Amino acid sequence: MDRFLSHRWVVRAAQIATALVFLAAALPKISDVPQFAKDIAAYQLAPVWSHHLVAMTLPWIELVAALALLLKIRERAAAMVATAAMLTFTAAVAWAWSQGLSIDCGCFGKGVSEPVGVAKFLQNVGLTALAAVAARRATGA
Amino acid sequence: MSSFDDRNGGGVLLGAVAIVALGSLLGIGQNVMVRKGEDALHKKDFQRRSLSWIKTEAVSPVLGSGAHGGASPAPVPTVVTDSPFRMAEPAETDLPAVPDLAQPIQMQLGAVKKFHDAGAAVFIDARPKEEYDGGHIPGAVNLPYDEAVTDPARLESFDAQGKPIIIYCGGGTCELSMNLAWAMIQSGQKKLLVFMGGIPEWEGAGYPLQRSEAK
Repeated sequence: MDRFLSHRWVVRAAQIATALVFLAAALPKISDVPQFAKDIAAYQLAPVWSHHLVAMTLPWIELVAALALLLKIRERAAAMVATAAMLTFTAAVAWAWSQGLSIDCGCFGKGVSEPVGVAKFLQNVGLTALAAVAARRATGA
Repeated sequence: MSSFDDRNGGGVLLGAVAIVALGSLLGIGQNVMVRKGEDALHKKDFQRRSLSWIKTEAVSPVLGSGAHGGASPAPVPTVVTDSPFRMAEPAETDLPAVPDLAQPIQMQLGAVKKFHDAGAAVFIDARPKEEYDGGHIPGAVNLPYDEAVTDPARLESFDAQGKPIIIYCGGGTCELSMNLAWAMIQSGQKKLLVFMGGIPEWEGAGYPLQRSEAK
């Protein structure tokens, strides 16, 4: 299993898949920063002063990581960033879910309505695993 | 051997830091550019959902604002006032004048109380019904945000009889009130005010609360 997950094709596929997900997540948020700031605020997790800062920077970090993964520039570093981001998102969703907040995830901007809940949590766990595979050092085996 | 370690482990970490830094710079750069562009147009788009302030005496400078999120055209035309403050006519009333803005305006306790005493505004409690029943500003109508979003007809049919609408909730960051205010603007309502302090501030000032009878 470990060898399979380190196979360069598997790692590359995970990198491209992660990149596409991050690309899809970043673009709508970049185009509507105030909406994303509101979505962040709805989690009631981060301090108020940080909402706009995170809303401004996070989508761009997602975008840079996605492009790096796609273009194979520092792709392992980008995959690490993606994994760290996914861990954070998963924790945020888990927290919101545990608090019974009926809020929109905000993950992919306002185009899609995705209530925070068990489905979202499992999706995030899956994406975290995908990003972790993308961060593995590929072997030719 | 863990697949995560790397002969070049430091390089990967450095790369990760570089990606975060580059992303942050781009994001802040975008914000700076957007603001510059829109300041030039006399239209602060980034701040379109931030609030102007109504203090006790004066109405704030008006931040012109058009469509909301591009989702639906705001029915209220863009209003741009150049005068920094509009004082209420003292002969008329000592209540601040509320402009027809396509965005909510923050209102502070002093002004809220004046409007309440004068019966010059409609009060909306954006909290869930249980909290409303537990004590609300006398005369306030309960319109929980969660219900309002699932039933937009309630917003459209809401008749404020031309009076300003003061929305409040449980204080804090007041997301419920803000969201409801935006939803009401989108459904065509005007003169939306948000009392950020909400119930905690009202109660803290020693003003009475009204409780709904148990049903």
